[in-house]
Amino acid sequence: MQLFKSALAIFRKDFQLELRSRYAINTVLTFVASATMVMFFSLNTSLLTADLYSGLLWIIILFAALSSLARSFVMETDQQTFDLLRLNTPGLPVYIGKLLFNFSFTYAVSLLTALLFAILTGSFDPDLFPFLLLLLLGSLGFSSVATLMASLVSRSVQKGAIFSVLCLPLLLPLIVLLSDATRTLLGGSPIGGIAEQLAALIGYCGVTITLSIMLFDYVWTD
Amino acid sequence: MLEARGLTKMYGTHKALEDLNLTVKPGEVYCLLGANGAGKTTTINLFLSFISPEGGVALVNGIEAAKQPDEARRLITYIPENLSLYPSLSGLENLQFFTGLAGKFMTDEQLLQCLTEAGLPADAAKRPVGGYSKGMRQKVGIAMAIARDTRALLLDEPTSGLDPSAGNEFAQLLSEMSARGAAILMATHDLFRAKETGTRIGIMKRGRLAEELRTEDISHSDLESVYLKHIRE
Repeated sequence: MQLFKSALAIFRKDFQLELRSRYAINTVLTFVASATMVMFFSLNTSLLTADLYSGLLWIIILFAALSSLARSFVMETDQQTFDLLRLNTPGLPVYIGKLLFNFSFTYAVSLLTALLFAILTGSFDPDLFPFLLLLLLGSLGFSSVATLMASLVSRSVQKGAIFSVLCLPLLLPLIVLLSDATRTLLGGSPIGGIAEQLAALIGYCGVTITLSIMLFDYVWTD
Repeated sequence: MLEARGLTKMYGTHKALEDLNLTVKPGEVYCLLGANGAGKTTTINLFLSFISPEGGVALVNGIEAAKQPDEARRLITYIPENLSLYPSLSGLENLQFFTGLAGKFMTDEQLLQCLTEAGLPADAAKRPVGGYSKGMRQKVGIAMAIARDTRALLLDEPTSGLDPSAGNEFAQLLSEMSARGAAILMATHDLFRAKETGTRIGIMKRGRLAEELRTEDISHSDLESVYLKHIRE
C-alpha cells in the first residue's frame, strides 16, 4: 500500500512542479504545433497517403516525447534532490511515480498531436476507439523506455544527446508497430485488423516495464 | 543508536576510512572534527548507505546500513551542508511530500506545527523554497526530523555559511532534537559550535579516529589546541 502511496506522491509532485514551471508543456506544445504546421504547409496534404500520415504522426510524437521525458529525472539531479529522495523512499515507487507522470504527459501529447493532424488535414479519420488504444499503448511504450533511460542519463554530462542515442534503438520496433497499425486503421480496417500489432504492443510494454522494474534498483542504488 | 564497528572504506588505493569505531547513543550529539579529507563525510555516507564499506559495519539501531539500506534510512534524517529542496514548492509542500514518501501522512496543521517548532514561521512556510535562505532550508530539514519522529540525525557541516545568529539558532534546535532522544552525528569544522552543542567530540585524521573527548571535560582553548596538534602532526 505504501508503495502506491509513495508512487502517487511522486506523480502528484511532478505534476505540481510541471504546472508551476510549464517547462515541458511549453517545449512540447511549441514543438508539436510547429512540426505539424511545417508539415501541413510544406507538403501537399491532399496527396499524402495513409503510409505517410501514420509515419509522420508517430515521428512527431516520438520527438515531442524525447524532448521532454528526460526531464523527469534530470530535474532531480539539477535541483540536487536525488539524495533526499533516495533517503525517503526505495527505488520502485520512484520509478512507478515517474512512469505514471511520463505516461500521462505523453498520452496528452499524443492526443493533441492527433487532434491537430485531424484538424489541419481534414482527411485523418481513423476508427476512434482502436486509434485511442494505439495512442495509449504507444504512450505507455515510449514512457516505459524513456523513464528508465532518463534515470540512467540523469547524472551524466551530455544528458540530452545520450538520452536520444539510448532511446532511439529501443523505440524503433515500437514506432514500426505503431505506424503499421495506424496505416491499417487509416485504410478503414476494424480493430480486428490490427489484433497482431496490438498483441505485440502489449508484449512490448509488458517486457519494457518488467525489465525497467528489475533494472531500476541498480540505477537507484548505484 | 548509531554504531560503527571497524568501518573501512577505500577509494581505489586510497584508504578514506580505516577501522573506525564509534557509538552515538540516543540523546547524544557526537561531533566529528577533522581537516578536509579526514573521513567525516565518508562516515556519514556509510551510515546513509550511499556507499558500501570494504570492511566493518555501520549500524543504525542494530540494522546494518549496507545490507538493509531502506530499513536503516527509515530511522534517519540527513541534513547536508546545502539542503536541496524543490524550489517552486513551498516549505510546507516540500515537507508534506518528503514525509508522505517516508510513510508519514499528516494534516497541513500538523506539518505547520512541525515547521513552527523548527523555527520557520507559518507565512514563510507557505512561500516557495526558491526564496529561502540557507538557514530557512535547514529549518525545513529539522522539521522533517520532527515530523518523522527521527531516531538518528546525520548532519554534514550544517552550520557552514550561516551567520552567528542563525548558527546559534540551529544549535538550539539540535539541542531540542537531542532532548527528544535523537542520536545526532554531526561533521563540522566549527570548533566553537562542536564544543557548545556536542556531548562528545571525535577528531579524525587520515581516515582514523585520532582522539575522542567529552565536551564537558575540555575548554574551548584546550579543544583548539588538541585539534591543531592533530591537524599539524
